[in-house]
Formats: sequence, C-alpha cells, structure tokens
Amino acid sequence: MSGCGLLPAGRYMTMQTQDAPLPRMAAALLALLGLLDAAYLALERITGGLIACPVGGGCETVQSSAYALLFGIPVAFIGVAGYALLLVVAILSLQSSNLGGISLDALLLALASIALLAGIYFMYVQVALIGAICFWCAIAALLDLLIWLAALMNWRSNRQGAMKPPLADHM
Amino acid sequence: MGIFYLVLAIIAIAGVALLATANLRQSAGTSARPTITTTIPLDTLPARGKADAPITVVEYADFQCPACGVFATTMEAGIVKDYIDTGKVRLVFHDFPLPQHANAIAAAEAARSAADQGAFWPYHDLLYAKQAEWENSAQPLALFAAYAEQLKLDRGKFEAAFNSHTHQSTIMQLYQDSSNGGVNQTPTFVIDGKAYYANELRTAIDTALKAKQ
Repeated sequence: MSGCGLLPAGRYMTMQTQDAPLPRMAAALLALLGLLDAAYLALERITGGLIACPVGGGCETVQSSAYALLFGIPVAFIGVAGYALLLVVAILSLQSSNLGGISLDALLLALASIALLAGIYFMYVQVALIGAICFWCAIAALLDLLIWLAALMNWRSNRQGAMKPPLADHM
Repeated sequence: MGIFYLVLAIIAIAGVALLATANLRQSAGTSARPTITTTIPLDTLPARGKADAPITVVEYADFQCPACGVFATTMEAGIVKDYIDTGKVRLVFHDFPLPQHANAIAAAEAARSAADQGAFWPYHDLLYAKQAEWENSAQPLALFAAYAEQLKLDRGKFEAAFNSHTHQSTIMQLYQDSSNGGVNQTPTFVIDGKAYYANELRTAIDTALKAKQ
C-alpha cells in the first residue's frame, strides 16, 4: 500500500475547500432556468413564431421593438450566451475554487452583477420607453436578481472562510 | 452532489423537450396565426405605394402606441425603401386607437385633418417622431396645429377640421372594425388576412412575394 503522497501544487490550489455549496447550486439551477427562458425567446425570434404571453400580453410588443436588438444582435441571443456562461461558471465553481488563478466565486459574482444590471436596464426600457412588459423578460430579470443574491451569499461566505486564521479551528 | 447534477440534467432535458414541442406545435399549425377580417374598403384608407402593387399590407396602428412609434421611426423607412418605393408593396394605414391611450383618438383626428390637405404621411411621420412631446399633453391641439404649420399646411383649415371632429366617427368605426376583426395589439400587420408583427414583417412580405411569382 502506498503512503499519502503530497498532492501536486496545482491540484491542491484548485481543490474545493468550500463547504457551503448551496448558493452555487442555486445559481446553477437559476442560470439553467434563465437559459431555457432566453432560448425560448431566441427560438421564436429565429422561427418568427408568436410568443406565448401568459401574463400582460406585451411580449410581442417588446420583442418586435427596436430595443430587442443590441448592437444589431437580438437581446435573446445575448441572453442565451450570458446564461450559458453563468451556468458553466456556477458548475465549475462547484468543482473548484479557482480557474487559471481567477477566483470562480468572484467571477460568478461579477457575471451575476452584469446580468442584474442588464435585467434592471431592460425592465426600465419596457416600463419607461416601450410601455409594455414582456412576461419572459420579467422572469429573466427576477432570475438575474436571484442569481446575483446567490452569487453574493456564496462570495461573502467563502471570503469570510478565507479570512479565518489558519489554526482557528484548532484553538 | 451527484443527485444535484441529475436534477440539473432532468430540468435541462425537460426544458429542451418543452421548447421543441412548442416550436413543432407552432410550425405544424399555420392556423395558429391570427386571421384578421375587415369590413372597411381598403381604398378609403390612407395608403402609400402603387395601387397595383402585388402585396397589400394593412397596418393597424395607434399614434400613441410606443411600439408603433418604434416601428415608424426605426423600421418603416427601410420597408418604404425596399418594398414600397420599388412597387412591390402597398401599405395601408388602418387606425386602431387603443382605449388606454388618452390622446390616440385626437392624434388620429389630427392625422386625418392633415390628410384633408394631402399630407397624411408627412404628418404621420411627424406625429410618431414627436410622440413623446404630445402623448401626455392635456391640450394636444396646440402641438398638433404647430406640426401642421411645420409642414406648411393651412393652420386655419386644419384647426377647423380638428375642432369640428369631422373624422371622429370614421376613426371610431375603424376602432370597432379592428376590434371586431380580431386585432388585439398594435402595430399589427395584415397580409392576405394573416396577422404579423413588426419583427416578422420583412419575412412575411418576402414569402408573400415569392408565392405571387
């Protein structure tokens, strides 16, 4: 039987030392829901189909407005890419605390913050500029807020853990 | 953790299946697209483009609707250039002033008053361009008359037509026709009785043009 070998430095650095995965699990789950939401709008955009609008009836008004494009790219497509990235980072953060020297907790919080700002901006556009609310966009904005809260909780708890003195548990 | 990934995978698969089903259902049933009917003779409505253009697009719109404003100020010029000026499309404007917009009927009356002097489309373009200025005005007539003057129309005639509500009954008839005909939002574009939204308009026109060739 072999003894306990010292782990290679790189592997040790990327080992998951966090013990509170729930916020990251929540972020991953919410990002997946956001991805499906954005994928639905993107699919209808590609096929030119009518969007089912369970509440409000403003979905087509919003999606057919000029604000549904950002730099010529449909916002739904940007949403798919954004949520896919959030999902990948949230899943990676369940496996490892950093990637190539970048803290995945900080990266998750940074991405979630961008998503939250985008969500707030698009809600403002709907209410103040278009005068109609798209149900699926409102859901996306709510998901953005929840993902951000999960990412913030995760970042704070792991930051507090990292700030503990190394021998604190043995005192 | 394994259970969590399993749950994530199940949600992903269920979501993709739902999206595929929704899309298949829609592509299978073109009948799902709303059918719009009208009892108003189209040649009585303001129109731009050749009278014998192969495709007629009827736009149901409200001057105070922000989405109509976005279409008019950002997309309509492209449609005019590519389809109307080239003789492929005739665009007919069907008023549908929505009840939640306090100045929509007044704006429609103003546009008709401008139409009396042969300036429906320039006035239509100006109303949409200045929508933010008049939409919440308690006394929009002063602004509407100023727009008429800006277009070098006879202000007196414009105000007389507006104040006597010459066109109000026609506009209300058009509202009723839109509502009875199955239109439920603006802007709605109708080609051969089928409703399309602004983002679908180009594709719908291209498809209709191909079908007529």
